[in-house]
Amino acid sequence: MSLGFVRHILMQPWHEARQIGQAWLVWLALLTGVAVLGATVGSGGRNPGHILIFLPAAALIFFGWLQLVLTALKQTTPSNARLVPGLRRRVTAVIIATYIGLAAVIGAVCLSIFGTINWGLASVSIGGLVMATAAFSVGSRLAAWTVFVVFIGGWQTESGRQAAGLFFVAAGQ
Amino acid sequence: MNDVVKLAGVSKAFGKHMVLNGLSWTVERGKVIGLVGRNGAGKSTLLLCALGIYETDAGSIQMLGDRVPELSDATRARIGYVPQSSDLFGWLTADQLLDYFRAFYPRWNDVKVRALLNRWGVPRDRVISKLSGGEKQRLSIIRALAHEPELLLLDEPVSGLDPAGRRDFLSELMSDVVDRETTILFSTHILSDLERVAADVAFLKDGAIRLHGQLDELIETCRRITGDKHSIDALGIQALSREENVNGTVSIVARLDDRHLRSVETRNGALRVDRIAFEELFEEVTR
Repeated sequence: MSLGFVRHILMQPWHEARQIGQAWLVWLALLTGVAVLGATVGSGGRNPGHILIFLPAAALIFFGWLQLVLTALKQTTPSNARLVPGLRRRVTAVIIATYIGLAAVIGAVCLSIFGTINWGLASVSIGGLVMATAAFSVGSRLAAWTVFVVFIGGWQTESGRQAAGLFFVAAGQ
Repeated sequence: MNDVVKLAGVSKAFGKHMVLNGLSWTVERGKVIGLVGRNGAGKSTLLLCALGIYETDAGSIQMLGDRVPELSDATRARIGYVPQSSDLFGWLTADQLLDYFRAFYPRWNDVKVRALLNRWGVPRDRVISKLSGGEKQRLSIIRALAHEPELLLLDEPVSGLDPAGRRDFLSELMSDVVDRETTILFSTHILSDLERVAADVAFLKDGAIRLHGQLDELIETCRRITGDKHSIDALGIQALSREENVNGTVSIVARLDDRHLRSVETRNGALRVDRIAFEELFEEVTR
């Protein structure tokens, strides 16, 4: 048996988003998050404003991961979970592995920027993410849009970056 | 081991409503069994309990030698299931869905999958959520057959299909049985389909299997016997159903072995003995 199931499980958010015409949203979230974290590290990570960039970028990456969780839940219907060999176990393993992988990336970036892993910021990120996800799961696209608009706008200027960060910190609290 | 499914004393209740009541039953390898019963008799519940999707309140179940619900991956790969309502992934196309499930099974018959998709006219590149009910049903069946299961359980598999679709489906099932000795258990309320495949029939009533046998044999051995109460009681036959008529006579439907059949025939003057059709048998047993 091949490891093809890993690819399939990872592709489900993309397929689902494409089906509702929002594939670009998933790509945008993931690429923006990764690009911003990369740029932040590349620029030396010594600018205090980078804190404000870091939070929404990390949130975008976790937003993509949450889509993976949501589609994973839909895949593990009672009959699939019970009867498809190893499906539930493998889906769970992929979810945990991607979580650990993404957390490691974000932790490494956090370490690069701040010289330490800032658990306070991590908590705020999770708070904002929970709020965004809650809004998304009850059918509101506003949370997702807000993250993008505020973040992309904020990326243009230093003050914008600060505003974006402040907004996200406020949202998280 | 010839018993593919073995249920012993299985009970399942929803609140105070007892659906399965100490049900004991075995399904032998290579059999095609139609599970019939009135609406709400518990056909779906029986299948879901057998598969371990529902927890039982009492009793034990074995599938292909494994205890349910602790089925090994190897055993799961030998089981196919088609649920009553499609649980396909609506965001995928048929090709993507089948590609997805192929990754989980050690055996997958691509040739058969392609042939069935073409023959049953399932659009391969259309998103599943946009398929018709019949197309989803067909895709569900293809998915369940693709890994060539030894045991196939289907919950009302033909309910969403037109007559031509039902005929194709039944013919596919029967060729699977002939080619690979697949054991098939399917619930249905379309009695004519059972007559077409000459399957075994199991009647579910009051939470238990009331009657199980080869359809032709049941038709051959079951009779409606009508007479006065004393004559009927004197037969000492265990009736499948019993009814008192307005003229004071009693009618029973019973499955008769050779001895009982001869006994009834010798009293032909006092008793009226009629053959009954499958549909009547269904009505009597499940009443």
